[in-house]
Amino acid sequence: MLSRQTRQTYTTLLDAACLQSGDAPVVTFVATDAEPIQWTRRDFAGRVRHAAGQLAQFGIQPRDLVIIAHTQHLESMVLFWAALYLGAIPSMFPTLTEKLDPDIYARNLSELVRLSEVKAVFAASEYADFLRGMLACSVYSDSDLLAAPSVDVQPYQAQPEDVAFLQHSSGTTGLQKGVALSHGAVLNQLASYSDAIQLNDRDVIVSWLPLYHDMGLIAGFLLPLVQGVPLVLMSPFDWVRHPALLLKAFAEHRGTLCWLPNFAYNHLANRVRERDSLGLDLSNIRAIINCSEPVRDDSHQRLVERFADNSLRPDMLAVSYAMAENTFAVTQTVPGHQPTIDRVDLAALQQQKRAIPVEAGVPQVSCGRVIAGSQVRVVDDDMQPLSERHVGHIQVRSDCMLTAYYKRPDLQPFSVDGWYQTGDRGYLAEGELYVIGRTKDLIINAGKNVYPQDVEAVINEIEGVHAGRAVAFGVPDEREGTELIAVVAEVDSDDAAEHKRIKREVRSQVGRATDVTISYVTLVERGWLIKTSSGKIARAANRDKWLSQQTVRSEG
Amino acid sequence: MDESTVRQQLRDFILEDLIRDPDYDLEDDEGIVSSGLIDSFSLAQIGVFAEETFGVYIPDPDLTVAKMDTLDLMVARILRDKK
Amino acid sequence: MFTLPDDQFMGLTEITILLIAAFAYILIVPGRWRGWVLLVGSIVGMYWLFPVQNIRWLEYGLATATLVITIVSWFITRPTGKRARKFTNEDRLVVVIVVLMVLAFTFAREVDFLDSLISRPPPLPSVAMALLVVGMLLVLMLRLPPRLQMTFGLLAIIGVFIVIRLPFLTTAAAAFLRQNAGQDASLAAPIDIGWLGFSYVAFRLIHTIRDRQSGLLPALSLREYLTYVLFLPAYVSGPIDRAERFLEDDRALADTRLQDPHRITVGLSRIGVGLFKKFIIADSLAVISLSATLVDQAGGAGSLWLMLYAYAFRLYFDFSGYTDIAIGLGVLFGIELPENFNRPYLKQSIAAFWQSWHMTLSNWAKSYVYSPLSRSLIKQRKLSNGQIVMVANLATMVVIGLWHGMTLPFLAWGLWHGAGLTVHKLWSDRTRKWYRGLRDTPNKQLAWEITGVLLTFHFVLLGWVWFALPDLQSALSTFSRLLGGGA
Repeated sequence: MLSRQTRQTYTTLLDAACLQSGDAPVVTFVATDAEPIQWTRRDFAGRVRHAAGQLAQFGIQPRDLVIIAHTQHLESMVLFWAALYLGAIPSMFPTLTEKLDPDIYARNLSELVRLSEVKAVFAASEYADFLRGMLACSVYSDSDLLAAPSVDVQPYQAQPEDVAFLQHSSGTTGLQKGVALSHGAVLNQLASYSDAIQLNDRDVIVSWLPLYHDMGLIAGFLLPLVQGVPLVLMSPFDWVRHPALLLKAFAEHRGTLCWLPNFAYNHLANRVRERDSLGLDLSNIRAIINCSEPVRDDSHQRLVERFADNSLRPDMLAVSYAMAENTFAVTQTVPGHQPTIDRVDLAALQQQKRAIPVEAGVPQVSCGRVIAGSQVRVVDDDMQPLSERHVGHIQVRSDCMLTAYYKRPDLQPFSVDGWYQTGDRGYLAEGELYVIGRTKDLIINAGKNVYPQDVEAVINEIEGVHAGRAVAFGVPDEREGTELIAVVAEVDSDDAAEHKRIKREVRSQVGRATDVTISYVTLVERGWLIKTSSGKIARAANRDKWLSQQTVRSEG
Repeated sequence: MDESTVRQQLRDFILEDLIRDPDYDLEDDEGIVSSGLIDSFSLAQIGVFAEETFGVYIPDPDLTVAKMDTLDLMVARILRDKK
Repeated sequence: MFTLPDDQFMGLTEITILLIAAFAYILIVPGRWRGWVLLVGSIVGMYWLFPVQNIRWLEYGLATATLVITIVSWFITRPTGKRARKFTNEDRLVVVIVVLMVLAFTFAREVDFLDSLISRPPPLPSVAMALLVVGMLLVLMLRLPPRLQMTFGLLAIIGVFIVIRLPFLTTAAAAFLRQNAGQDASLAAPIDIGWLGFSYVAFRLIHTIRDRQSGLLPALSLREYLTYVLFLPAYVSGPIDRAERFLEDDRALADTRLQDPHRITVGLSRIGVGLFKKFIIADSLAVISLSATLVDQAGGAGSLWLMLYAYAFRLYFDFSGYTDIAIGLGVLFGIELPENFNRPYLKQSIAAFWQSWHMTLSNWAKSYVYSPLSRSLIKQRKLSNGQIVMVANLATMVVIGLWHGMTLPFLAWGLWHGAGLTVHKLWSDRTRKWYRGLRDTPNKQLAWEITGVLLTFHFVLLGWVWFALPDLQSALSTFSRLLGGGA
């Protein structure tokens, strides 16, 4: 198994266990209304080689960028590895769902194809034809792959510093930033991270995470496949509607590890029916790792309370702080030990930017210590390092960072000493990292990055809304364990029917453009929104105003 | 439990817990998931509500957008299984 | 009456000898021989610790039977079909070693000095006969398809368990054995058959068979399997380990650094703590602990309550002390046994209590009784959720109760806790939101937490009455006296 000790025995990702021969299980795909599909190493490696040959026949060359926007997980996985095998650069991309507007989706994808010089897109047959008409590159569907002949290809002899694949950060504004990761960097991350979570050959990873998200791609896909640890996979759409599927998978396949964004804890705690969890034995879980969203202690407690009868224990909870730019994990708590809770004075935290421990303070959940090979520090606005318990900007430096933003020489992620500015704020205490929030106005809703500007841009186009007079912001929700999205827009009309139309339009247009659900839509009269002195909408101030009016409403 | 009670309880639930807009004028045959009014997380929520409030267990394969998209569909399903 | 008769057979002398053996093992045994030494040592230890029985040769017979049953159980839990595990040379070697050891023990009767080690084994012809009979039965059983083998194995183990625990069956078996040994059958009594460690062995074997049936058991060699089942520190009174977990440590034995001051300190201090708890605290409390004899001597309700409290703490310190010693010894030998106790008397609910008292047993029961039972009840669709939880809880606690002893008081104890768990579940379902709201008033929350601890402790405390007294009659009269009534 790959670890920091055995790191030298791996050169590229093609040394992965999933490409070796044998009957060990690689992946088992489970679904609510279908039988599980299991592939062994023999199956998987065979399919990868076959697909690589097909890609070669399509004219894909080493170093070509291919986008995989496939609905089928198993096909996506094979295509990804086939591209690696060939030396092409794969990148997973969100699929077109029923909710999204196909034209907007195609437009975004087309931008990406143009900017990054994408050679081919692999998409599900349902919309491959549609995309073909819209994109400047070749589009292949699964029916194309079924029929296409294959040739024998040799695995590409990559150098460790060669780019292996790209990760795209989510959100339309972030779409153009393709995080290019090299073989060496990814292997460093997998080695260090496996050590940090004490990965062993009895582990079984269970995941519903989408493969285009860094958590799903690294922890829920590459980690098990490279390490030869069995992966039990399900579709995120299936899981969201039937959350008990995750728990059943754990019980039936003796799962030991999984990674979840914070909202998933609440979703599981609130929305798994009694009947579905009765008698499910979760005692074999070694760690449930909270990642990709600010961690809330309340969510952890809800999960443990709900499933205590199923042998879920608090020491199964763990936390990780991760980002695509570091391949994945930067810090990790020790598995088998509850994450440290730091109770701090809220006022001092917000005003003086200091984390002063007090007994009845607000609980901050630790993200753990930095993993081997990585460093983390907290700096002030002038990039000067701060001492412990001072809140500032979090910076990261490591041996598993991105090579660059793909084909974006204008974007320089690193500072002079190679430190990467994460955009998050937090503090260090006793060697452990605590993340407080984001520097910018980013909303993190259900583990997804949502840029308020994108939402506002859509709303401004809606008839009846005053252009430029809409604001979107995040509202932390305790029951959901994440930020919900609230929108306030100025309108002229007083008419109830008109309001209803506008509200409906807001929700559906935003959903179709960004695949995001607005939870609160408030229409206000002209002049309600607070502006800054330069005439821009002040998001934070409007948020506070809206929140205070909400409290008045619920108490009134 | 008669139909009007079930309908009213479901309506209140949808407005308060799912749409979070008690003033919203919900039509009986309005598609709430397909229109983006609520997201697919809410399907599971409907399942929990059905179990806790009406003691009705809707198996997972039936908790889909197609079968649960409108208030009418939900009411029909609850009444059917309550027998 | 103390519930675990097996438990008294590791006294200070035995523990000291084991400590010396542990140090010899740490200092002398090279890495790759450790697993073998553990195996041979555990077998010798089992024979050595086995208490002398009333029936001639029975201690030898039962110890040997344990070996045979374990070997057969290993055989039927081997993976079959596509992933079949072949019978290796190492496995054959283990069988040879075991047979040689058994024969050596029979020869002990001829050799004086071994007499202190193994007392009174039967004559060789009897042993040979017994082996032959068993061998034939085995051959017959192994002709069955694997699934039936496992079902048969499960039933056989449960059957033996019931025979040695259900008093009237035990007496019948004792009578039969007495006759065979040429002793007076009319004197037969349950106490004649004291099968040391079988309760734990049975649960370990059942766990492996069930895991094989659900396809979750890894392939174990015979040596690994025997060591897991018979591992000496845990043999007499647990903890009940899981094969998968034990295997991890066992397979790493060759590389584990045993001559590590930190490890040795941890092991020794754990043993020290255990010795203190068991031989000082528990034994002191024994004098005033509730028991059948003391109960008659008690004055009024006040002194009865005192005895009950003493019993509760004596039981805890004795059992957890014993577990500490077992875990400490395990650490010295290189095996990290799982914990059994986690401050059980300080828990706020009966559900939390059962997650912290004799944890390996309750986890076992949850995995092999509660979960499968609930899942199958759900499939039948006849009961509501609340009813399923109630049935499953009762069934699980009854199994736990009867595992301690198959008499009415233990059944009552099981039902007592099953009822308590059900009531707790109903209560906590209804009060979940309110309890969550308490977080805003920390003082109120603290008050409720303390109330919970006190309620839970006293519920468990009263439950111990069933445990402490040998029959329903005396238990009920004790209850009545505790509450101020007469006998």
